[in-house]
Amino acid sequence: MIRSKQVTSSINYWLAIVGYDSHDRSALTLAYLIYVVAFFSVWTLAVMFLVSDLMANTLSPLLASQGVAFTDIVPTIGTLLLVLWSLYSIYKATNRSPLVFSEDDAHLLCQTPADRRLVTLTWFFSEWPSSVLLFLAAAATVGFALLDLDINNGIRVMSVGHLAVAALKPLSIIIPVHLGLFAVVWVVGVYRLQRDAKRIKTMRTLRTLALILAVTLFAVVIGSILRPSLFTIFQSGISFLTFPFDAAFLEGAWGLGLAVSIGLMTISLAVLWLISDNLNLSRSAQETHHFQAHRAAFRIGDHDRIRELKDRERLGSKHVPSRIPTFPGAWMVTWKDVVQSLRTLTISRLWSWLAILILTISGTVVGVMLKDGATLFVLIVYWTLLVGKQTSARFKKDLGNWWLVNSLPLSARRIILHDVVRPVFTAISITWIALWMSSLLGLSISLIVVCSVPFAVFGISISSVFDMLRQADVSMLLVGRSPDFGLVGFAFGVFCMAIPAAIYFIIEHYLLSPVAGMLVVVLAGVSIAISLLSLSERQFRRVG
Amino acid sequence: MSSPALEVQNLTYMYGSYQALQETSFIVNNGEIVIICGPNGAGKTTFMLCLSGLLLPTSGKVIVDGFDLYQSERSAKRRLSYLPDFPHFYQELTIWEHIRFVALAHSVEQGFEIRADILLSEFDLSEVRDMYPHALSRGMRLKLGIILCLIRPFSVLLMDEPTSALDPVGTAVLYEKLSDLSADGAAIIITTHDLSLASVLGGRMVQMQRGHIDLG
Repeated sequence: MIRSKQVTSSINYWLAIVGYDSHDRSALTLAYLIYVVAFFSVWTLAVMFLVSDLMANTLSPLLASQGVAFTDIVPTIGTLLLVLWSLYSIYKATNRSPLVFSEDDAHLLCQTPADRRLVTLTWFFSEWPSSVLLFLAAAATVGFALLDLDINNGIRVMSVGHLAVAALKPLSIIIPVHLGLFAVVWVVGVYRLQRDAKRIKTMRTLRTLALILAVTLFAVVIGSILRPSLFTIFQSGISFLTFPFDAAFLEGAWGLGLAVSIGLMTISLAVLWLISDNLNLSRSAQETHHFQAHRAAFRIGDHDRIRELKDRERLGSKHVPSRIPTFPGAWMVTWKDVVQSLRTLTISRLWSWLAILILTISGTVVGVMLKDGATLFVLIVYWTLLVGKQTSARFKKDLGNWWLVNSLPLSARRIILHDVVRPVFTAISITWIALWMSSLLGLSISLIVVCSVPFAVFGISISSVFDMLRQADVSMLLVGRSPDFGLVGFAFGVFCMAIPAAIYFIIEHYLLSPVAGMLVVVLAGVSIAISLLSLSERQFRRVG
Repeated sequence: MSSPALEVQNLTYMYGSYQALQETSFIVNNGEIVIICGPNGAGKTTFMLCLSGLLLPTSGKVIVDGFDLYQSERSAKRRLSYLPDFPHFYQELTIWEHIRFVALAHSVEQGFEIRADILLSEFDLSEVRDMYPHALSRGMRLKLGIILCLIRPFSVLLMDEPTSALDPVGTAVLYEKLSDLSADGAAIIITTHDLSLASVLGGRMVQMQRGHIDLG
């Protein structure tokens, strides 16, 4: 019952995304549901046909020119993908339970004498469809591509019967093979969660093995792509693994392939049934309620919550005190920001800064070299959004701790400045580096553009801060939820970009002195920055 | 004659068309403990938020030690210490780092480490001083909030349901601290559902009903 509620809520989520109201039982809503299902089915089929056509008429001749037959590599690539996926899933299962419960479900389930085998199989069969879906689509698409090639090789007219056979033949084997491998993954996960023994050592060995195997296979795949001649040697090495796929996609031995895959599936499911009797549900729930919280946050698009949960996992439970020197007064806001930044430094956060660099270089190339105004506008919009988000992120965190920040004996101006100065300085440096790199590419960068960068970045940052403060609601801030900057902040940010841009175009158009242009940019930039800061300061005191 | 520690003049707060606080006025003197009781939805938290400066009232004034909270914000806030009912913390800073941050940001440099150690030990948090707040129970987080309020200088202490998640030992320590602070001249305002608090602390109890304070 708990699982059916989870599944229903998951289905309702996807239905809500397409605008279906599950509470409305009218005929019109039902008709809409039928329409949505039909539309997406046809759309999926169309995409599959398109991809299969690309495989048959573009990829296949390309491979043929390299001396590799498309039909030969399909079973090998298919096997590799499935094996890599299985190894990755096994690796995950040695770390975390495959059964996922929310905290509430765990309370309900762990206190009942529910049959562990039944619980395992219920969760297993309800998780499996979402896992197999992509493989099924890929298998059917490859089936269509092979049929397409057959048409090129003799069949004149493609009938529905042909298409059905082309899709069903591989599916009849892929389904049991995937189900069998999925069960193997669960066997590992359930084995780890058994009540009676400590299996840390076995799990560590399994995890290492899975990692080594996956890395080796991945290296072989990359090697084969880079050097197709390697492929032939590798293919003969794993031919025993590719047998079910040979049977699924190529001529002959389909019956034997089906029997082998059903055999694998039956054995794996039987083992899962046997070992799941001793499953420790409490441990499983303990390990996965965070994951369930991630899922829930993802479904409602709460990226702040997802980031918060990820940070919590990464931070662990304790840390030795920071050695960064402390000084009394306003410096402590910067000290806090530095400690926070260092402890949550991740590749994805660095990537956001790198994106500013890439966007600036792209913008310069598009604007100076290609003179493509429309693309430049899109790039500037994206750059503005990114700079706004990055430079106000620290202030957003402080808003989420409003009761602490607001009690500091510091003026609103100092708090805002301490929070934004460091990221603003970083954004300015990155933009200047990008402009310098662009000049190395031979693009001429106007001094007016260089001069306007600090004011534009600062203006965008303060605009974002102002908009967050404008939207802030105390009841939300007190539970740690601070708003993102919205359309108003973005519009103000674009305005900060538009002023220097307009000055630049006027100077260029009327061939005025660039020194005058720079002076105007500096004057306009300073006035806008001061006005926006005063506006934000006033808004800081008006949060309600 | 010295000014009262806290003076509230005609404080009103509207949530849209709903009047959460109705022209509330009252005075708290130095060393006085005021306990505000009232049913859920009476406006206690809104009142405390307005007193702490976290929420700008629709009209009215709050004067702390002679400084208007909304005009001389910095001077008034230096004298105010506020604890919300569910304090939220930076997830990247440990307990000790939170204490260091708040103390030094308030320019409390001398002897803050000794005082912090004493407070941590009294509230039984010494063992977990290097832990992150998200690894603590609700009661422990509340204790951290209390320590952060007490580590900094203030003349008016505002606490919104401070005993709601405390264990008996923590509650006893808090009562003792509040009595000492009151004896030292701090004005203390507490909202609570615990009616025994007034008899334990010997403070003035006031009732809050539908956004209006009944001074008896």
